[in-house]
Amino acid sequence: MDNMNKPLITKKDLIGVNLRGYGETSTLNYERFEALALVWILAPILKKLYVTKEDRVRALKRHLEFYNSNGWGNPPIYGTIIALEEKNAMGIDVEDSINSIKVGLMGPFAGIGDSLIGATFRPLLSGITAAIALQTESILGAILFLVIYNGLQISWRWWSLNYGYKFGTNMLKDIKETNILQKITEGSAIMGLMVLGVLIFEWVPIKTGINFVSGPKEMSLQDILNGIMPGLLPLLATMGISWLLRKKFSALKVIGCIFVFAFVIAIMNHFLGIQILVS
Amino acid sequence: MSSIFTALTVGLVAGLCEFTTYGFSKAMFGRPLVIGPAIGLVLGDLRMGIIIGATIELIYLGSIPIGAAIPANAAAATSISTALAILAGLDVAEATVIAVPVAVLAQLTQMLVWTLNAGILHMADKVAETGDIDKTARLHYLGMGLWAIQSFLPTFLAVLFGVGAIEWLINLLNNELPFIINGFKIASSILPALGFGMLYNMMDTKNFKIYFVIGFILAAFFSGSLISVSALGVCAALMHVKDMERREKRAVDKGGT
Repeated sequence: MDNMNKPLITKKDLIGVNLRGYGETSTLNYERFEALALVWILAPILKKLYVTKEDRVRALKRHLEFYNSNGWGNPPIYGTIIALEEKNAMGIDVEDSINSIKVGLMGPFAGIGDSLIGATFRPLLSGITAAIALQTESILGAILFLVIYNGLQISWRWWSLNYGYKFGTNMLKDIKETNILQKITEGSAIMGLMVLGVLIFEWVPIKTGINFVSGPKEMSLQDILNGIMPGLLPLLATMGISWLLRKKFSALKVIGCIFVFAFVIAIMNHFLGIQILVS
Repeated sequence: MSSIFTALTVGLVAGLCEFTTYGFSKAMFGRPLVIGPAIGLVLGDLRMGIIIGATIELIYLGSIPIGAAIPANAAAATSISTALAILAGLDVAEATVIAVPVAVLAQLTQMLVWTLNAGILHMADKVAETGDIDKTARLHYLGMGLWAIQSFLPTFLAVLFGVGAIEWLINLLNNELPFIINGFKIASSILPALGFGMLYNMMDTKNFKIYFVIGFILAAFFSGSLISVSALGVCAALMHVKDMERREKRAVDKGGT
């Protein structure tokens, strides 16, 4: 256990992750959003930390699970994950907690990033610099926009990646305390699962558009479902798919079923003139 | 409408700028404010590009991608408006209206890339079984390739064949074959459930299901946001840890007496 406190991750590794971070959306997709991007971003780290085939397969699978956050929220999460992976590779078994902590962090960071940067700072900066552009009829507006936005983004990404790395490292510092690993595993599972509940409600946008006439007025099925429980359809879909996967249906089979189902519904929507599911 | 050379130039400049949105760099060159002057510059009327870019920037100010919602494509709208204004002499208002079908086409092709990327993801799932980290990670570059094509194509086609051709295509898709776009949209609304289903199965190892139920109820019935519920999640986690400590202490005390 002598090598326990000697970090495997160097500053050079973090610089690499920071640069790859700018490609966080290249494989953005509806199923698991930035999952493959995360694997690409962490690839040099994972290669350094894990040597055996089994370890590498498990690490790849771990990070090919659903991942998505806001661009400004990603770097501190990457930092935390790297710290946890590093300790894990050094023999402190936190493998089960990594994904829970990831989910626990990606939710709130997406919320904060989207509202603070996406909905406030960026539009504000755009508005001001567009006004400057119109007034001066020069490229000053565009240049100001690019310099301010990217200046802040570049500094934030590097600083917050390091902050996240330190945060993750400190989390596992008092390793001698009794059962700390057990506590981290269970605590992060609780927090992660609670956030997962909200994520399903907010990021699975399944809605029905069926209306029917009952007596004098037209009723919307979605309103009735909302009266029972808002988000019922997203929850049912997720639980149904989770059950199928546990019944050893492959994800590929499920994706095939989803597309067939979606196109059947779309064709029925069109030819029956109803909106069974809307987007 | 124009020579293939003009179409290539406009397509490449627009494509390079828009590539920064999803492809690589996140540097915001795809904002109308930037892409307008860029197209203006290559077509020889920088001033027009600046005015159109800034005008559309103000129109699209509030349109931001949140979660999986893709707003109508402001970058393609700007490049085509600017090209139309400079090449065909339209005024700013006319150009922005005529550019709308191209913005819709670009939005649809973005949706298509989001869908195709799920295919790349499943290729990665397969390669991951071999434990080859490099080979798995390299698939990410395919996504960059798709974004490069997506950023270039709508603007290039619109300049080459004219906006009328794009309008015809959009009309065909919207009016004659609406179930194609709708099918993709419905599938895209269900696909995240697959991602979450896999994640749920992986996280639900410790039998803490009840906390998942609590999180969902807080969101569904109490309009709990991601931020508020995660704050509660931290509290719940700390309470659980306190409880564990209490039990440990009791076990130690019992052992002592």
